[in-house]
Amino acid sequence: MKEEIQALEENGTWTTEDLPPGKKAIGCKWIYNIKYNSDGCIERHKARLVIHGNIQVKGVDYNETFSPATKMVTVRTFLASAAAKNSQLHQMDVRNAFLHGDMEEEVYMKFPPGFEKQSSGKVFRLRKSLYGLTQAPRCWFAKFFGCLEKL
Amino acid sequence: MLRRCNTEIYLLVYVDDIIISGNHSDVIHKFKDYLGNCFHMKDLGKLKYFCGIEVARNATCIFLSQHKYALDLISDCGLLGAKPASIPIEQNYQLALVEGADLKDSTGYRSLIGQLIYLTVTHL
Repeated sequence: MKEEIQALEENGTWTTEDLPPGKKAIGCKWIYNIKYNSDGCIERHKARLVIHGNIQVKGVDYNETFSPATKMVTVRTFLASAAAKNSQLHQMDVRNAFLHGDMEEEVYMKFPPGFEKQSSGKVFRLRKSLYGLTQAPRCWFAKFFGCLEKL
Repeated sequence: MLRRCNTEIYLLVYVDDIIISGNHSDVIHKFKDYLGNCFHMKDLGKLKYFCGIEVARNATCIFLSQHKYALDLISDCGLLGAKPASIPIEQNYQLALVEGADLKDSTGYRSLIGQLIYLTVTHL
């Protein structure tokens, strides 16, 4: 859990601030997962912080949420065209994709469970998107697309 | 799709999984380096496994298989030892009207149906 908090802080996910009057801080929780190696032995115990996106209020905590997704038919067409042209196919995977997105909206989050003692009345203001946020996929796609447009 | 002179790069993005295709291996590698600089990425090399689909190719064609996905599905249901049947239900069977209570937790059932539907994506 400390590792995840550290990673999030290095990523610049949030800044610690006072909660402005009239704003509401959203809770979050830990999701625990055990990662296995391909031979079945335990690789590591993983903790991921997720925000309660389900209590976000439209118009306050988020506006647009649409994000395009690929249809399976498109994937097959893509592969068929690659086969026809005999071109190379490579694959990449983005680590912690949703944590890359930049936040447009002003969203405040309570301190994570287990770390409340350090809060002393302050809250986190989210600067980057977090797993569980309603707009997380959209934020990620916008970031990724922006990166492509620079080419 | 990006096109410069006579080099092309095609890109397919499924949330955080990316397939890159192109006609120039240097350009592909440059592109991968560029993406690696923008984000923390894992280079998985040649396309092998994408969204539960195994991809194998030879000189002329690409072969898609959901063998591993199907096997995982069967093993999750605890049906690995079950006897295969070409028709899993009696033919012309009349379905009975509903009796008894609804499922207490329908999540497992719904997720199974979803997985079975996903198994059909490699079928034309």
